[in-house]
Amino acid sequence: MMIIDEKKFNRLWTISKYVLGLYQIITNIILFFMFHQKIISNNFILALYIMQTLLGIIILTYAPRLGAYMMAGLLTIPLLITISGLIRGSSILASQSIIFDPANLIIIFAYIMFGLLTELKETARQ
Amino acid sequence: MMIIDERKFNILLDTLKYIYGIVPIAIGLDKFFFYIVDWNIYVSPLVFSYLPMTIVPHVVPIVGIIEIIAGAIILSKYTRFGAYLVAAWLGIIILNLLTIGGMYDIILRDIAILVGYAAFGFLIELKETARQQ
Repeated sequence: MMIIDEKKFNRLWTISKYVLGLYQIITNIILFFMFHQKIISNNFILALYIMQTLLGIIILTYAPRLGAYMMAGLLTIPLLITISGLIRGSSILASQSIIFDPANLIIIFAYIMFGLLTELKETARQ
Repeated sequence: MMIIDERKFNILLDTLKYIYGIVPIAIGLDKFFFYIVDWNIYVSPLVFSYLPMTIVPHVVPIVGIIEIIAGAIILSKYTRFGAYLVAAWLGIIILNLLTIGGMYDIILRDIAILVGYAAFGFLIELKETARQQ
């Protein structure tokens, strides 16, 4: 067991919650205005967008931990498709950079970090 | 003060250390190979206008070297410094992207990544100031 500064921990947790929750919602709104035809015409991308937006809302509201883990899982799917596309040299998948971006790995782990922080917060003793 | 599970906290920090260290190195290396994307499109014309013509073709590889060094610092014993360094570097990249204009989705993504690195640095700081029970 480890004793840490509660005020600092809560500050970090709150900032992470709002940034990670709002990030997907705002990004999806911007991307929708930029690439709405591409999004609407592809059912897979459309479903991914709707789920990401809903999970952003879940993180901000009643289930931050569940939302964060689900978001990490959801972001892993396009990442794996990208990696396999890059390995096989598939230009179609690699060019879909609006969502299939390898830098998303950092964001995936930011969501996992937030989920684990929430878990630590929930199981902590005062 | 708050009592938390030290083992879980350490697993989280160790995992983040390797992921947050290896990814900048991989992305930095790609600045030499352009395998993931053509990185030249992310450099603002404003940046180019302030640089001598002889340096312009080397801007992207220089950025790659900085990212490789920052990633290596994270993997070394100066993890906290490395995390804050990458966060500061991302701040500069965001300013660069703002001057290009229109890349709002990438700017937002970089803000999220910046917060991830800053939070990681802050977590290490929390660990360093923690007491054992």
